[in-house]
Amino acid sequence: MNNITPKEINLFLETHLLKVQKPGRYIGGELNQINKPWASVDLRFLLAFPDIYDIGLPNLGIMILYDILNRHSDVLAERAYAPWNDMETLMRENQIPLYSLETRQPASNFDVIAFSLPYESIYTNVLNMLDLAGIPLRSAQRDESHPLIFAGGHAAYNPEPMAPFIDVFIIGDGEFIIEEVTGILLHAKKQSSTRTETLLALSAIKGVYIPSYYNPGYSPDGSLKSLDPSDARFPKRVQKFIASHLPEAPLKPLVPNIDVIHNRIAVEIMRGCTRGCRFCHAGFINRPIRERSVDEIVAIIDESIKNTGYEEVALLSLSSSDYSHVDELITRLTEKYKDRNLTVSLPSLRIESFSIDLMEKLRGSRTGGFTLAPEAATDHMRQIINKPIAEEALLETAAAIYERGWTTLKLYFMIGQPFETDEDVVGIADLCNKVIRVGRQKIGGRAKLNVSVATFIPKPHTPFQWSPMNTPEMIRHKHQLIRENIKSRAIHLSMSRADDSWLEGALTRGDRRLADVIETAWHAGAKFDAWRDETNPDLWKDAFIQNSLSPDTYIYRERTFDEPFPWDHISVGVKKSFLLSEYRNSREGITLEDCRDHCVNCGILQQYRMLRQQPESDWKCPEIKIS
Amino acid sequence: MNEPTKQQFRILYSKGEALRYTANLDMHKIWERWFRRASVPLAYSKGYHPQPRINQAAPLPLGMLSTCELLDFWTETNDACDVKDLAGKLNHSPQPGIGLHSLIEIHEKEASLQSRLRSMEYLAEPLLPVTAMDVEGQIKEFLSTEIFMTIRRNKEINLRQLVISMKADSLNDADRVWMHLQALPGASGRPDDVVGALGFDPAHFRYTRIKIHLDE
Repeated sequence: MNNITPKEINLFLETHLLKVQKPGRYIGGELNQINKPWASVDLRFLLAFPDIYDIGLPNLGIMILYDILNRHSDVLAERAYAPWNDMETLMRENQIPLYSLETRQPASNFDVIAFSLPYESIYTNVLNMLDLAGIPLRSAQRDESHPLIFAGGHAAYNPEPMAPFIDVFIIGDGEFIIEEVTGILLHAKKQSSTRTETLLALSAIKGVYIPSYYNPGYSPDGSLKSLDPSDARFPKRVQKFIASHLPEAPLKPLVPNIDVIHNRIAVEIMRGCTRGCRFCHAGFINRPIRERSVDEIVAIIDESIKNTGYEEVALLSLSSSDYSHVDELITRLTEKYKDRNLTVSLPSLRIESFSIDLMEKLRGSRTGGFTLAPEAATDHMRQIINKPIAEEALLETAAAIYERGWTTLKLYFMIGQPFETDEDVVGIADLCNKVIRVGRQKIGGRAKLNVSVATFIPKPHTPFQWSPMNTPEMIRHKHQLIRENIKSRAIHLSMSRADDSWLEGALTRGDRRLADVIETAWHAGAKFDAWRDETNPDLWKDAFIQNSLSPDTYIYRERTFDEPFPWDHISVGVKKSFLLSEYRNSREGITLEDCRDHCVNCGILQQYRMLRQQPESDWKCPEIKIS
Repeated sequence: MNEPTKQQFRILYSKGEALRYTANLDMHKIWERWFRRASVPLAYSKGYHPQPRINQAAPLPLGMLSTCELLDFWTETNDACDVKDLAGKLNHSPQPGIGLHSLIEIHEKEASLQSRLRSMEYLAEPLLPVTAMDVEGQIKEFLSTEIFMTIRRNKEINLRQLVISMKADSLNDADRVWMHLQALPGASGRPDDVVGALGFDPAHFRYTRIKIHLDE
């Protein structure tokens, strides 16, 4: 099925696309798409996003890699997204393989297929896309005729559940690693290196993890005992690769011809976060904190608008309020674009009146809502998660939001975090009642409150990585507590389903044996597991049983402190001893302050001290003496 | 300060491969973004959610191509816009899937493009081989009847009445069908329906709109 030509694929598309929903997903042709003749380059990457086009197109990581790779005259990068069910059926019926949007080449004709893994619930889609490409699922089954399969992204920081399917994992700032990877692959192609020789050469790059060179060992009781390199050429721990500065932003982002989830320019203003919220995966794996200058951000936006014509810009970071020059940035953007009908969005604002000042500057008319994420509602819980916000401050901020013209406030909470009591859960409802009362006092019946309650999932590389997850029964009980204590009809409550999170809980802290479970589930029909109406928990439960594994041991068990984690061989630069002391601090209600002013010795500065000293370094960690 | 100048312009353009599955609402966005890239000072409607003043003549059904689309837009600026300058700006930042044929200024107040639509011409080209006899014979048979009922959006319509004229039109040995269809509010013909009525699979043809007739 891989001898099919782009011309045949085009004929299939022209004669079948009107039978599927949103056919515009499957043809590319966007503004700023890069079209290189297939034969004009030496090395060909297919950037694959394992969810549908609508979600994958705006993905900033893909956009950055697409830009960087295509800058090389001897390299091309094209794209593929997961086809939706209707399209997949048609493709399989007509023996059409996964193909690239740009040149309509079958995926198997590329040298590298690089998957983005932002979250765990898309693992089955990776298998499905490999299968659609006609490529054997497991590395061990592939030979010289197959592309190398790469993966990177937030979920790749625990690569083990996907280890048997992926040849090369990229750990860290992929924008920089990919340059070295490209150099080695170009050389390998010129030398006609074998697959084995190429993988060996790649293994020398910092931030590259080749799982086939590492072997897990298990204790008689079934727990993971060790995960060691097969010989001394490979490091015992793979250190994530980071750069001293943020990468250049893509100035010509792709502009889709159909509506997708985010139709906007996305500019990363800052990477990393110094708040140290103990549940936050992104906050730990993306350390240290690095900022872009205001001048650079303004220049990026200016150039991107010229190149796209977008009507919206999103300033991305984990905590916008913490960007050192946020006020200056917003002032400059507002002045520059005030008559241009441009919307600037600033997510992740802190709970303080300054955030309202910022939002006021950003919008002339104050319709719509204002979003805040307190995550927890009692002092007890806030100390546990290390997100201390006084209740008075939250209520004052809420009052000011309603008073200054917003009628809807949206609050995000999380339940199921370690050491949570029923009082903490009831506290969420109590706090919401207080907030809506404040809203009523300020603007009467127009005040609305939307409350979103998510279920906590313990993540690798965070202080809560040892913590058990709440069972669906516990979550249902907590949902009930919240529901029965909410006192106002002006509060709209939305809670994730109690059964929704266990699968992600198992996959995120799983070991290599889960690969069998993933493959079994995919064979049984699992895909689009991030889609509420598509995922089928029973099918996954069966897959665990068929492989004689219990999800419960991965999810609901507190891990012992001396037990190795399946991700111990991946280092994000934060010491395990620091994470453990943070887990203990959480139990004792001890909080740590923001580490911008006072280093908390997480380990990142010691690990990357050479980088920090480079002249272009834009880290915001405090200066400390490192011996 | 002087009162800003308001002007109306009309664009004749073709819609190609890249945009053939882009529906009308999304086409509006495509134009809006193109005008923003080109720094065209579009006029906006008043109110809470100002909308750019862009007006497309006739939605092109999904999957069809066109060489003759019409679009009006209005500008509002202190210095009057010049047709040549506007076209230059747009061409400087081309939009994949759109070929700009002409840009003219409309000086007299006119009724909207939509209300002036009368009929349209289309070409239907087979993507898979069809024999010449088939096409011509089927066309003749269709035109000889007075009533050909078909269903479009759960409504029964007499398709024959909507076909003003039709003929086979050979090019490079492929048998294309040229047709001239009525395009009035609530009584518009679709070329794929006509191809279906001729007894072919509509999915096996490529459709191009080649002319829009407005009232004079």
